[in-house]
Amino acid sequence: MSTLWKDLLVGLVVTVLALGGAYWQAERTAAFERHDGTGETLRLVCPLH
Amino acid sequence: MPRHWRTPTVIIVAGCLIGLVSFGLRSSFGLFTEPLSAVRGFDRETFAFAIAVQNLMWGLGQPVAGAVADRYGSGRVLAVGGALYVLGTVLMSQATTGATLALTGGVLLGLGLAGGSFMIVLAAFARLVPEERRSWALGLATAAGSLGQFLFAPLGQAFIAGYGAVQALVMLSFFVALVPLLAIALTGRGEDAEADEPEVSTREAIRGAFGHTSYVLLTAGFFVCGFHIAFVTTHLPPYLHDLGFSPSLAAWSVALIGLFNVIGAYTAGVLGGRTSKRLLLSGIYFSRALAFLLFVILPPTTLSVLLFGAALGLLWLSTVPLTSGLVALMFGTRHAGMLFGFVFLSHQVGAFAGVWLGGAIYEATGAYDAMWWISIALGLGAAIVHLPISERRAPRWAPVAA
Repeated sequence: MSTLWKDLLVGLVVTVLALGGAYWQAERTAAFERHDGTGETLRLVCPLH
Repeated sequence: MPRHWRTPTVIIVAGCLIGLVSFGLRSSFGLFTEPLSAVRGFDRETFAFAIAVQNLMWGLGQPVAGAVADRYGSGRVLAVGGALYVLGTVLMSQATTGATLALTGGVLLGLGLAGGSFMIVLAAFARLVPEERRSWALGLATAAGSLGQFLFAPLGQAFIAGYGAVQALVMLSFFVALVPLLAIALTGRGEDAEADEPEVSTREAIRGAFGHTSYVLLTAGFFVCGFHIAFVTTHLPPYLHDLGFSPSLAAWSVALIGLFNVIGAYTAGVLGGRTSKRLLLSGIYFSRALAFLLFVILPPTTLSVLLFGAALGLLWLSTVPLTSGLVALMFGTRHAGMLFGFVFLSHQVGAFAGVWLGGAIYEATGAYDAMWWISIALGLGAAIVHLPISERRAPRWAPVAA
């Protein structure tokens, strides 16, 4: 298998993991936010930094 | 102990797991602001101050941790850094005053992050992974670190809901206890990679790097990266709230940034091994400026917010494998950890400026408009300063004949 195909295959796996993770995170975040019920909460769950 | 088991694959998998765990836990700290403050009686400013100290210590500690890793190997630094990270997290959960919170969650955790996370892994990859696969590995490590948020943010929420903030923080820290174990795979200084590199002392390396125009331009560019990311991370949700959007839309836009960040970081690593890194970086910063511009001038809609999140995600940490790859290209791997560290320090200073200026401008004008335009100007500036960067070994670091 060429390096390009290996890179693409790894990229596909990483993308699938990221898709599942993003969906899970957004759903969980929305659930948490609904549970808490304030807009302020959103800033607290911002996960990137 | 025989070293033959430390193949590039083992090194890459271990390094990616370290990035995932260390970056993942770090990304979940925002979750603890409210519940931990409620349990301990902190106000929001006290918690924010501790996190600000943490960011500062992370930035300041990075060149030092990098220099130690360059001298004694990344594995040892990752092991000690990982232990400090766990200790800082556990003690932070027990802090009862603002001062102890700043010392544990700020100083100790910041130093743990400097030694036990991402940048040391990148330096290890630069040394231990063959040069032809280096950019790909740097991209994969960046993507893995970004994936960590998807694991730890929901997990953190579940733990807080089930066990309370104090217990949840202790439980999450157990994951970081894996870092010293995984670090065993990243021991060694990559002497083979350094074989054709000239002997340069630490002092000479610092002087030489900051006397090399391309390194200074790269460092300046990474300041802008930190500025953009920290500004958007901190101020996008309240900005969307001001525009009247629902919090769940902001949640989805943040998730889209995370999703496309993973894809963008990995793709940048792959492309960086096949084409010009400086041109890719210039294109990324130009595209950021364009994304900000379109976001500001077009009427805000649900679709435009989501598209902005996706576009920004693609351009988010895609700068990391390219920037770190350029440092290794210019100076080789002997001082890679320290020289990455100085570039990262610039990123952290930019992040501080982005968060602080965003708040200051909002307080002064009641809007973020000026901040968006500053971000556009800085993006264009960064796109320009990357163009003259020389993509070859710096003169003092030219390979020597064996």
